[in-house]
Amino acid sequence: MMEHDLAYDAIVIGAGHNGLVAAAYLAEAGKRVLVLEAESEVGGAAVTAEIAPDYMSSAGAHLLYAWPQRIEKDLKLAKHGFEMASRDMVTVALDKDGKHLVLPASSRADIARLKDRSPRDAEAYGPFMKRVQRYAGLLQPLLEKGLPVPGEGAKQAATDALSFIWRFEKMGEEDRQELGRFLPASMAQVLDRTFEDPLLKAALAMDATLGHHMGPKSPGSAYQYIYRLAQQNIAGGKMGYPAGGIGALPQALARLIGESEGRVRTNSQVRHILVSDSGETEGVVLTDGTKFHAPIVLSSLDPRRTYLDLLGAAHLAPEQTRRLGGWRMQGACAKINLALEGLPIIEGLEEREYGGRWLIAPDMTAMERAFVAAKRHELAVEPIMEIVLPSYHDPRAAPPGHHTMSILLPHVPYDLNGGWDARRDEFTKRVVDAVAVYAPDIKLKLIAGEILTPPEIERRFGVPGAGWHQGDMSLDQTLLFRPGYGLSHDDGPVRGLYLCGSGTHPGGGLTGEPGRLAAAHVLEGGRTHV
Amino acid sequence: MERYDVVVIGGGVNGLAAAARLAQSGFAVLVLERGEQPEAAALAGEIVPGFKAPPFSLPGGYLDPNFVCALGLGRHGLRALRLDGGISLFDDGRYVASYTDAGVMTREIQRHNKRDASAWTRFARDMQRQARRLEKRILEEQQDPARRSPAAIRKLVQDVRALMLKPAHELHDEARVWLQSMETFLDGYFRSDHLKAHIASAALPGHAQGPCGQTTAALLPLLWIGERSGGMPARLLPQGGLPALTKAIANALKAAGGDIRFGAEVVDVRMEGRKAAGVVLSDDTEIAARCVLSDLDVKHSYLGLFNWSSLPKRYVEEIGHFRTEGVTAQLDLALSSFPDFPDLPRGCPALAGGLRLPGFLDDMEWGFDDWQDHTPPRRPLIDMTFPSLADPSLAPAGKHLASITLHYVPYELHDGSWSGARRAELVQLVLKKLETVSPGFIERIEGYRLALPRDIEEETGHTHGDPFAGQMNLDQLFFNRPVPGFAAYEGPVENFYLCSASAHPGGAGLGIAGYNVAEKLLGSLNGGSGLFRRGKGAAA
Amino acid sequence: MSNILVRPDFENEHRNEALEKYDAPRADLFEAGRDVLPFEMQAEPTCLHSFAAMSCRTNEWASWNGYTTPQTYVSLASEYEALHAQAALADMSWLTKYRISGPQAEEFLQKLVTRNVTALPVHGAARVFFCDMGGKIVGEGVLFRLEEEDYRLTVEGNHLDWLDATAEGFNCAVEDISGTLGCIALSGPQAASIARQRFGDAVAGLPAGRALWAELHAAPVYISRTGSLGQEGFEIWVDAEDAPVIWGSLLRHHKEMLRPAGLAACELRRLERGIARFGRDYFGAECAVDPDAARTPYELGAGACVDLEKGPFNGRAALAKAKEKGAQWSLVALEVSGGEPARFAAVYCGDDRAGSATSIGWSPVLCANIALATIRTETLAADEGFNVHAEIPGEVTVRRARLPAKIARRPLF
Repeated sequence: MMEHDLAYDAIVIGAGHNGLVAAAYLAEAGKRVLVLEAESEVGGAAVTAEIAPDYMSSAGAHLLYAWPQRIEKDLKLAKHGFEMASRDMVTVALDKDGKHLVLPASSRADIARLKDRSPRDAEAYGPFMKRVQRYAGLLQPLLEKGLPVPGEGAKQAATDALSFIWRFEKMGEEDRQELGRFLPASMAQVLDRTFEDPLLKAALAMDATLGHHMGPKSPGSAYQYIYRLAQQNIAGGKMGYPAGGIGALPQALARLIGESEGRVRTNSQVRHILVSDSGETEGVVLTDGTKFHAPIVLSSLDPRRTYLDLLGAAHLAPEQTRRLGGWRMQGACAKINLALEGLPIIEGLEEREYGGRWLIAPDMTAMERAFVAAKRHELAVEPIMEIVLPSYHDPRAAPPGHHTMSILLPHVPYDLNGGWDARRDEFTKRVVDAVAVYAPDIKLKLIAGEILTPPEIERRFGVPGAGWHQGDMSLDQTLLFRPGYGLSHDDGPVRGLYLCGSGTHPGGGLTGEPGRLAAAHVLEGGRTHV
Repeated sequence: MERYDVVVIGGGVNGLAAAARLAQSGFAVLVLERGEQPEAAALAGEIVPGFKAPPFSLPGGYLDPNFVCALGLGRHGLRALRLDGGISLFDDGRYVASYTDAGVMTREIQRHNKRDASAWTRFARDMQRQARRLEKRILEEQQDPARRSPAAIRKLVQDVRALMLKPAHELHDEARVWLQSMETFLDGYFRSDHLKAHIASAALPGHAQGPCGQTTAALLPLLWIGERSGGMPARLLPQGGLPALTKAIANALKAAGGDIRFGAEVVDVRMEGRKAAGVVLSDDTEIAARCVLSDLDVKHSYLGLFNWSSLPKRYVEEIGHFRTEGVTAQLDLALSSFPDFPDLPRGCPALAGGLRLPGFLDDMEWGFDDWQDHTPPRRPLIDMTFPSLADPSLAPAGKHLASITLHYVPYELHDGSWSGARRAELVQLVLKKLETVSPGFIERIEGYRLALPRDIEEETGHTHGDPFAGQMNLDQLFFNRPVPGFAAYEGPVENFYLCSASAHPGGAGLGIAGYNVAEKLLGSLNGGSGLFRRGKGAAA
Repeated sequence: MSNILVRPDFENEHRNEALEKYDAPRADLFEAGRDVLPFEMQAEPTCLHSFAAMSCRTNEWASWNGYTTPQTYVSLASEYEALHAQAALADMSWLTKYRISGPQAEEFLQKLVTRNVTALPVHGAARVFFCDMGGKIVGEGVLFRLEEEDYRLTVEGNHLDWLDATAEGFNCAVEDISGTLGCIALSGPQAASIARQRFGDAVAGLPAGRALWAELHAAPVYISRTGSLGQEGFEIWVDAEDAPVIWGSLLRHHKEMLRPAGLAACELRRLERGIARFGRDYFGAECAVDPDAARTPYELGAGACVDLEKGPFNGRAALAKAKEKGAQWSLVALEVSGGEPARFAAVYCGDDRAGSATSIGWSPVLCANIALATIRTETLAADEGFNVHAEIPGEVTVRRARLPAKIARRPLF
């Protein structure tokens, strides 16, 4: 019997982490699932790879900041070899003079540091965090489950609305009044009203803009902040790093699927989704012509590629075609992975803080300037970045005593004036120089490294536009509008076709939630609310 | 002590509108204006002998015909011009003109892109739909959504239900005009970069927003308020600019028996207990009133006239954060003859509505980013009208006046001030640009006057020279304006009402804020329930 | 320029010779063409403009679909008489025409319109509607199949954007050929006889909804047994350059029983025949500022044009729901009593507002005011009690009266 004669219950296109989570949930429920991955490795942007001989690092994503414990438990990932090396990473906003800030400022020591920089801000910090947590609490239930289907979900919507309103009322009058202003506001406005310390403001603004095509002054960035907070709360509130690097996660998921009746098939690029005459999915056909049949197809690719390339606009209503044509995927990032001879010394940094995520963002002006430069297809004069030392959590990833450094750079233009090929060295130099301001010995310790420019990130990890959200998380591409028009879960043009990637609700951030929710929809029989 | 029913602080459009409306309904009204007589002010606006530049004739908002009728402004000297909306001219020599006629506009777009001409119908439809919704809201006092009664909660649940019953595409259609960036929104209809830039440059004037920021699409439908034709909306300009409008309203006020006093500066508010009960002038005169209206922007109104300790602490902080931004400068040029624009067709009627040199969307965003960084603009959005075409009295025979609004000009610079040298640089930049599109332009200049945001601030009293007395971003509009929780016209002080553009609806309608306050008072002063009722009171 | 109508085996030389024989008026006198700036004219002239202008004694012009056409040539009465009792020529060149061609033209059209396109044979023509995701009509028109993979869609309005968006993913081309094609409607009881004399038996014997290639004065013409007036007649499709020749020739040869009819007479006839018009009796979904002014085909009584079983097409799901739910609005014809021409818009059932009259006119034959109106379906249950608030213009004053109205079967006459 040929492999493609096997009947599958579901086909998942793309073995990024979301596709794998979706497949894993289906497999756990007893479904026979086939996962088709175009590349030779699973994981998408969640990979552990060699960045230089003998140095392994999280080449793409380097942090699990909103990874839900729920998924770990549901899928019993520990059984399949997955464990977290750290669940408790803090954020360190690096300061040129060594007066770093550690967030969340929960311990007495951290609060003291904040007080040292600004007593007023130390006072204001607690109430501010409480307020934004309340806002995040409003959003949280919307992220944890599928959204009601417009046009039919009236009863469920009324229930949701009541629960939302109840929580809204509980918030207190001032909070309620502020919310209406908060949602369309820029993070800079919100922060300037509350705080004075530029480093603190920049650190908070980073969480509002990282990975988005936005600067701190962009309207709608405040919403991103509470969205991320809500995602983190769902996950349990802490940032973590898995043993074996980020790639350990998709590997564990792939093992789970392999041990079920399903399988993961690499080097299998899907060309088309097959549709019956009555408008239902029948399976897929690969670029080499091989066909696979299943009544359910889940695509973890972005909405545009899924519908316009794999399905074809012929199946879409013109309104949907227009919507997808206008689906924006910006927020390009670059990645620099370094191999170091030893731990870079940063003055004023405590031992445990080397295991945190570092932010190099001195103030919001620098962040805004970096964003503006990217809009103008230029390199930032002062690059902004988020840094993690994977080797700190994963000593086996580098030779003894040596380290790896993973640098994620937002606000990098996808198209660069003069071309990336001509300017990659210039870019690398700027970045390393910027790091050296805080870690002066980095250049001495630098052994090797790789730079992934936005086009390279897109190509290597299958991440469109080199942004990890498969679609800006802007106000018009969020919640019900992600992507909306009935394209999300089986209420679209073709029965049996689901989106399960970060391009659908609840969006990106290495959460696995889009995959989990899609699987839940499938198991519920489609077109319902979890 | 003099006694009035209503005292209005500030004789701007809103203050006068409120006063006129109340006077026409039979109440004793006094308007106190710090500046001199309007006539004198007009004379002061001579940039070169013989050329009268209407000072700061920024559009400032839409002129509601109902408003004009209700106050009888036509009888009191107002002439408003409805002009086809202007032309955008680009560096490559191409232009897009605005016509109010749908057929002509479609044919104009066809010159650029056939498919866009077809999409125009849909765009105009969506703009008109949203404008109709806004028209209703503009004439309402905003309710605070945070204060809820059980009945209101029930209604909210019903509203959400109704919302969810809408099909998916309708939901997004209604939401995206609020949420999307102007760029994304226009991309949803059009392919032609010229057309998109033309539309965007009509909507952005005066706003401290760039076309690529989220929620900026919400500015587009403002152009369509009051418009019923299927083309590009007309530009409605009071002949003689804002001062002419002010003068007409002042005449209406006087005809109805109201008083205006010039050179009268209010320095304090008379209080009776916790209620406002009149004003105190700089010469210590006290005037009593049943209620006090303020046409000053919110900062001057509250922070300038009250002891901060008598106001709620949060309110004081929030007003401090209320964003009033100067974003436009005005350059008035006296020209010896009408300039020549070789790229434009002869006799194009759209030229009467003005000429814009906007650049493309990227250029506008660039300009906005520079403005945010407090850098002088490298390519300001140039928006030029020729007031002398409609009103020949503004210039000697055969000569002309060009009034240019420059967008994205910062109030202050990050590395110094607007020195004489910097001012001259800006003017040179603009003139050079104009010379490229109109050879011989510079030769025609007989004199000019540049007013930067700071100058506008000094003249008009608007903080930072903000044309709308408070920027019109979503977080400062509707129930957020001027401060969440205090969007009702009567702020934290009883009997003291904010009627300037700092209150709802901001710059969405000239004089509407004042008009709304008057309507509200007519409801409550007449012993009514305080509900908003349109059309109450007899017009004089 | 001329593209669609050149038949593969046609010889151009004959045509040029033939053209010279006719002293067509110098076209450049009225040449308006594409070089005119948009603001220099409110409406474009059709290719028949020069001839129409010659015949138009009243010089009353109307604007239709962005083109200008005579409202009345000589008198409404004579033109109306010709339309319903003899034969008349009407200039329909103002229609928007799209050419749709390519290997997947049929699949594209199948998705676009509500009707089953596969059933349309070559040289067939059918009335079609195309709807949006909400089931509301975006546009309507007539679809002609000229060849296996070559169609023509004639509509009112500009729908290129909608067609292009629908055509994404199909291997086909959509072109706007409006200005290149003229259309002359030959309408009335004598139309068949004239057609026989000019074009032969084959054309005269065409069944409704069919078309044929023919030739007149060495110009290729495509003649279809279609018409927007709802009565006996043909439409003659001809290259824009040749249209004046055909028009002139027809009028010249059949002076006694053929005359040109203007917009006013056509509208009156259409009204009598009970045909609803796009942009008049309802608005397209992409134009209607008030969403309530858009309609589904069911609300126009055109359910026969919707085939829910044919497979997926634009608006199918919404139309299925609409069919089940039943139409909220119905298009009806009204006959209003009172022996004088009157103006009215609001339609009442008793004292309750039932709907609006969208097209009104005075029918000389019926001697009554007639109208097409959209009224709420539930009021149809009440058989009587309909009335309109009318204004009856007199010599000096205008009289107001409530006139009783009754719902009449379409066509009225």
